[in-house]
Amino acid sequence: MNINTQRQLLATVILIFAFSLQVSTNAHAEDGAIRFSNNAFKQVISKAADDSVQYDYVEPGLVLPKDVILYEIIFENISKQEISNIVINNPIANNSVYRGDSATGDASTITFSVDGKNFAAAKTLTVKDKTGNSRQAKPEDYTAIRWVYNNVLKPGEKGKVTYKTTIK
Amino acid sequence: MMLNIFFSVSIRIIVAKQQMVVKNAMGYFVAQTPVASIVFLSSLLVSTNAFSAAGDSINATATINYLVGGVTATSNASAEFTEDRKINFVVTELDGGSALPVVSTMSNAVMQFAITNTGNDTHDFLITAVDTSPNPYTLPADSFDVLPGTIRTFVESGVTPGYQTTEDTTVFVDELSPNSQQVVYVLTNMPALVENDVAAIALIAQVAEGGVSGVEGAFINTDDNGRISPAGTFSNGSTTVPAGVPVFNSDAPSAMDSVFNDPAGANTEDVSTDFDNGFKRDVAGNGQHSDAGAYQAMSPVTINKTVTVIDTLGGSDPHAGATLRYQLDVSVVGNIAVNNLIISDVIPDNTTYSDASIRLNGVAQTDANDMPTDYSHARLSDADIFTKPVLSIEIDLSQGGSVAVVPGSTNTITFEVTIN
Repeated sequence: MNINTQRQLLATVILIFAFSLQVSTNAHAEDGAIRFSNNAFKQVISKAADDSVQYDYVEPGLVLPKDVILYEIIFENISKQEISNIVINNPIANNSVYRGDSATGDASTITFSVDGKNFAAAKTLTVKDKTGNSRQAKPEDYTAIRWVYNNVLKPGEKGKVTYKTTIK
Repeated sequence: MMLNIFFSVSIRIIVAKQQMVVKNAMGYFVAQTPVASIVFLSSLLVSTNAFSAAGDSINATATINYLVGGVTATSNASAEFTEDRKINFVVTELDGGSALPVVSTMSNAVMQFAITNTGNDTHDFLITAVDTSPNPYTLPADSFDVLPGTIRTFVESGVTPGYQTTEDTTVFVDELSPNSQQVVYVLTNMPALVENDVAAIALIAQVAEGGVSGVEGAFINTDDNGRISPAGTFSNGSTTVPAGVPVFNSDAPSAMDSVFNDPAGANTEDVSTDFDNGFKRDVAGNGQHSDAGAYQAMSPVTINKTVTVIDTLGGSDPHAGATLRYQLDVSVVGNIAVNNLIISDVIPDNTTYSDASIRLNGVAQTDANDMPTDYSHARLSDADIFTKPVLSIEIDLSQGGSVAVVPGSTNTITFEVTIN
């Protein structure tokens, strides 16, 4: 074994050590920097005496086909550092159809996917029909939503994104 | 199974000042049941969207990626709840929105219904049929009940379209998935009837648990929201369902609740096991649904007669020497195949039959009474004496009793005369 080989070995060992450090740092950040929550609510529509329509969002106790579900995803910086490059990915749940134009997000760019991998603005997404021709994707074709948060989240700050689905 | 039925009223259709009689040689119809080929609306309507979602856990998991202190990090958060069970289904009478023709004292008069599962779980359905009133098609008024003890219900097996005695023997609807439909049959025997007697019949379906193929599932006579089914007897008398006892279960996100969501009946029905006393109709949300049809004593045969004038100059002026081409469209309606269906038509006064002009469905027929060459002939006189003129023409659509004329069929007969 010559000197060069020994150096290469040493470099490799250092690299492995560095990698394992990084992994452990990740785990730490995951536990600590952001408090992340996801809650589902059933939309209940009621009409008041003056014919105004009221939307209430309640615990999803009784959920039947065609019910509308509101998802509320909240992220809060509970660390002492600024957090950047925030991206939230959310596959549409089983038995559920995304409701067009329902996605909202503070300071976010919202894109959608029909394959779970490639994300683009709603208007530019296409799917292939049975004959192989491309057509513009409809909300029911979406399989995932992505929010790219354009701001830096300062310590103590919160952000919220929401979307709605219809139960199949 | 063949059966002779006296048809108390002969069919007389007067068109263009002519009289036409549909009869066999002895002046009565012979109808054959069960039916060989009922119009089949069918379990072929089964949708590809067989999606049983009730009880599924619906899980949405969001993932967040971010950069903190120069390192990337990831976190997940899930929202989860259970999709509850919406019990919804519809019974629909399938005989085209009008009364079903029946004849006096016939057995096994078949009425068709469909059960469509519009809920989100696979179910069995228990079925029964009962005499009801009023006539869902309004008039004539309901005037008789079918023979007591003869109401039976069976499920289409899917092997051969239409009710088949040997095939369609199952008495409950098995494993009907969401968005699919099952045809069921009601069979009854008729008492002695006179024309336009009407009996309304309702088919009642009661929801039951699915899950095991080939086994009649347990009835579901209560949901988790305090709604109940009335009592009833199903499966040709073998299954008795007591009235449900209201149950109120809290709607926990993680548990599957059942909710009766079936609609109210479409018509007024005096159905003892399934009606709201105030409105006399099937109430919504009781785990049962029903629809009514009606039997009506009337001819299963309709004839439409038209005439075309073909004058000697190629126009349509009915002058002497012009030809009149008569067309008879003979349709069998309802669910009853007709045997020994013989159509005869009298040659009008002041006209002369054009020899060899009878056509059946476009095929030329001989004038001679020469079956089995063909089953049409020109009658020279009531005694068939070989002297002209031809008095009438006759076509045996049943080909000497060997063929039943099936419902849904139309035979077109044409013949020509010249104006004297």
